Amino acid sequence: MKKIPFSHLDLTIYEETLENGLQVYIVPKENCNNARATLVTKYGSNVSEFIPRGKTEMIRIPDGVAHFLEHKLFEQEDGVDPFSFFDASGSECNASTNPWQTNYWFVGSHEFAKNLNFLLDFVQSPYFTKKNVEKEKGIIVQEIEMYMDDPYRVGFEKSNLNLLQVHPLRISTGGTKESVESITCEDLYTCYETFYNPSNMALVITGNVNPETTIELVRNNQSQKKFPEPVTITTKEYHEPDTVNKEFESIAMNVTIPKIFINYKLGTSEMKDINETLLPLYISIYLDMKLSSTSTFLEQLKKDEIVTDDIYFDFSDIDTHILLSIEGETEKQDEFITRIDQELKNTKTTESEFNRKKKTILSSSIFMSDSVDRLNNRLVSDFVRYGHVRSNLYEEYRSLNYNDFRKVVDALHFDHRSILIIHSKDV
Amino acid sequence: MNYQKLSQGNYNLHIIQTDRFKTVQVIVNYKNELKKEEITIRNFLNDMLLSTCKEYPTSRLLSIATEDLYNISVNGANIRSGKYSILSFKCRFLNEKYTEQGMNEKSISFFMNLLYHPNIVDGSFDETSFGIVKKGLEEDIRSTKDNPRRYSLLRLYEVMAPNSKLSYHPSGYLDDLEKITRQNLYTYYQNMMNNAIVDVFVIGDVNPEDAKTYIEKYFIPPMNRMATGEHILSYSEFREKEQVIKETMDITQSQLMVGCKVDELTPFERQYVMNIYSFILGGGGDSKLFQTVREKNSLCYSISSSYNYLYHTMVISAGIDAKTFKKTLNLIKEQLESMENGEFEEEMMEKAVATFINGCKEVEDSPTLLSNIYLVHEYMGNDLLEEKIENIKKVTKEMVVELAKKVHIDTVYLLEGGNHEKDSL
Repeated sequence: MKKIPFSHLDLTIYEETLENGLQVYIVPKENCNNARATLVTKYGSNVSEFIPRGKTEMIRIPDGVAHFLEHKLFEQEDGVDPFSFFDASGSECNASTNPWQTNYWFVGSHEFAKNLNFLLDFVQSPYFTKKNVEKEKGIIVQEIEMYMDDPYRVGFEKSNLNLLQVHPLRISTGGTKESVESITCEDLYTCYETFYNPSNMALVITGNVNPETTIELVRNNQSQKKFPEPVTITTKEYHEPDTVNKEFESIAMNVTIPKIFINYKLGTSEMKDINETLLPLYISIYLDMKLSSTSTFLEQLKKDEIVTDDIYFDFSDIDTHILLSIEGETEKQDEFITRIDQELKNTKTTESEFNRKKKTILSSSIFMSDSVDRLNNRLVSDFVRYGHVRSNLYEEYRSLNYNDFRKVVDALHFDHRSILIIHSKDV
Repeated sequence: MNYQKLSQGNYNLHIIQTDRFKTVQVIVNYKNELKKEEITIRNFLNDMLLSTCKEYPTSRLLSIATEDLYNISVNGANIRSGKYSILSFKCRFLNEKYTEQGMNEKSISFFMNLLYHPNIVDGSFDETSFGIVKKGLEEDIRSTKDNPRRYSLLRLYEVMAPNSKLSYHPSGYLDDLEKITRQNLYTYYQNMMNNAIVDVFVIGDVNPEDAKTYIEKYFIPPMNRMATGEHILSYSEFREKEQVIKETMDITQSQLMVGCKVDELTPFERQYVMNIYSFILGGGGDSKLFQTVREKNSLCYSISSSYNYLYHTMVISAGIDAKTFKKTLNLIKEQLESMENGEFEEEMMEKAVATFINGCKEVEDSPTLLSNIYLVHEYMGNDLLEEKIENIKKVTKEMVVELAKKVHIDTVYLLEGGNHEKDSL
């Protein structure tokens, strides 16, 4: 087991890749009672077409299988309900699926060893039957209906759908009612066998644990199970064009004040020489400078009564593009769209402001390390995104520099845009 | 960990010294009687004090200042708490060990500046920020229907106990908003600062002497010390038969809320027995409601029960298809009844206790949760962590069954979405 200092955060990362390919990361935290363990697979709703293990032909699976699979892994052949199992020690367990990953986790330090064994066991023992798959459909349809009443969720999913022409990030993680109804037991096994091989997964543990005894437990648990050989997984590659799928859409929902989503599709081909872990931070800093509460732009927008609240902005990325989403609540939609567009295209910045934003990024990494949960989530997303966790996070953040920042800013072209308006049903 | 409570004339200073966190948190709470007509103005004051101050007269300048202070976070809320309203301001910043020396004092000074040196011009709050804050509150009040679940809960409380403190809208009222001026807001501010029950908390790895010195230097104590009364609301009347209220909204999923009133509980019952009762009934994935309504009958994705001892209420909520209303409600009633009949395993009691104890341990990992323990100890006389861990083990199955008999369904509320197909009751 390798021992790597987590620089500047007074923590140590213990790291080992087991024989079956499972990557294990343990970050013990002194002065803390709680512990969190996450078992993650690099498989989410972004996988729509792939070559199943042992096959040669690419297949397409119904939308929502990754999420369905997450639900069904809680079904055990011996009838033991994982929720009930974790409850016995007062721990909490759950799972979640997003476009890039599926997580299974529990929180609680009481009977940690027993719980950790069980986490590995229940995720690694699929038991899908025609009957239990059918039973789950009603539950998942209610979950989808719950999201259909959430304007932010709908806004996020519609935005991706309208920006992208081919990449599966355009697909809703849960799928649709129809696609969920069409999912079969075989679909679940096919995906499970392909993507839940330990070589595609990691176990991330943070909090009040002993690294030596914990890794020993994981080694023992895994050595008693047989897994097929690790193989390289082939998923479909997409050539996403620069242009958007739909430039404008307006939908009615249960909202009082209209919500406007201004979405941009930005090509990243000119940013190839920028460190890939820093690129998202440079983009965050730029958006923050332009649109956050420290900007004169937002101050003016509020003074002119175009918005009342802050503007929300976020982005996600695929290999070739950054998908930027800016959301505001306003009755003055045209003015809002024009002003945002102008502001983003005005790429003037100052180095002193850059340095202030950098300071907040450095500070937030220390804030983050104070929480067992946030630390765990950080490491999990590192694994999914980079294939390993970053121990030099703080150093990396320190290397953010104005020169590279300007290179990124100069390569941002806000030419491909898609607008989504969610307005009240009364209009 | 070391806790001390200092009675500082007209306010209490609570210092929790612990080396568990890399951050320091400071909380200032103003507690007053909850009055319907003051909810809006207190919300207004909260937003106003957090948006500017004399030194940073625009919210842009204030935001820049927070970034310069290593991303200090400052927030506040007007919290409805039993018979009281608590205006609570919080700041959290990196301990100076992780930034630079002198930052602990600078950060506390910055925070107190917001509370005690607002941007006042000629005896009134500054016009520009006043206008922005007012518009924001107006939108908040107008948007109460945007979140169907929150709206259903609000309506449930309204129909359960009309005119009681439970029925008040936390976001306030448009009529009251219109009455607020820059002048009367300032008068309210001055009055509240001097006539509230005030508690200050400092949590972090700070020498208590230093903490006391900084607070005394920058905090301005109230002129009067106010007496406190009973915090918790209870009922003297209960409905013979539950009322069923159905309303419709153009949404996809229907929201079902079953509101229960609970007989007046002893401090032991409200802190421990009720917790175990609600855990077994609808606390999580292993609960009776989740197992029956979701797992066995596939009627919903989410279902849970939660209780609020400050108002002696318990609410069961589920997102369902309107067509299954009757079936779901019957299953919920069956589960409530089965609690009264003691139809649950001892094992569930043990799980509830283990979960409670784990929860107590988690408290020590979070400055917010930790300060809250001392806060409710101060306000309601609730037990501290060690007593909690001991006392929860004393709860017996008989106590839970006894308590189940004190829970009465008062109102069934359905916010009907979907195609509004009628389901006869």
